[in-house]
Amino acid sequence: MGTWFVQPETTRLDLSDGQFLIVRTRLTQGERRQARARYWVVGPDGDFHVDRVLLPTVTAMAFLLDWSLTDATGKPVVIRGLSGDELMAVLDGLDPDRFDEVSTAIDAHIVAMAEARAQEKKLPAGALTDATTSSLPSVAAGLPASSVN
Amino acid sequence: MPVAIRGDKARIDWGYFAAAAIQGFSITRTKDGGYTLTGTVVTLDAFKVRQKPLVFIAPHKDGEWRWPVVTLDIAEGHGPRAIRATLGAQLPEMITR
Repeated sequence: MGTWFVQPETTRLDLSDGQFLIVRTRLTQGERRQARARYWVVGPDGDFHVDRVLLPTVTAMAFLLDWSLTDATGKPVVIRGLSGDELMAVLDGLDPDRFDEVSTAIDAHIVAMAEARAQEKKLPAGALTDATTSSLPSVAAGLPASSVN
Repeated sequence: MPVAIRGDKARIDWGYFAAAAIQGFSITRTKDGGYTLTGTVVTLDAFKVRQKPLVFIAPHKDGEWRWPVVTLDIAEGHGPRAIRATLGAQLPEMITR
């Protein structure tokens, strides 16, 4: 039976051009709550809605710990230790296609972790786990989190 | 006993989690080659600070010095309070600049 508490494990996600991301393998409840606080917003109808424009960036912020990306001069762009707002500013500086690559890699990681958790719990095939449905509504609905216009 | 390092801000991490923030610390070399840390912890995560392995991290202008935490003793109470720890052999320095 798995631990009740998230361990500080990391996963490397490979990108193109030999670049890579270091991400949290799983989010804690606190990290998930902080992410939700950013992307759940009050709509004109007074109800809470997922801000689908913000969701990919907030998802990336929640999982990212470090990466190998460098600036145009080849100097590493350090993200370890940045605050949420600082990390958001760095992500907003990415080329949009490059951000999509980062986001897609993280989405795939989330799906892989949910599938691994489902295997651990030995759920029937195709069943969604709590981690999938409650952390990424768009992923849970079968849509990649980055598919935002 | 000679003071090896004195500093202002430091932290204790559990993996990538922040377990405690420290304001004001000194590290003293012990006879057996280890280190004794004393300081003031200003915030801590009551769960994470009890996990292992913990690492004490002292930032400097070019990066961070790091030591494994062998034993940790935090005073009772709320708010800023005393911390005392024994540290193991220094880990490789992390250069961030």
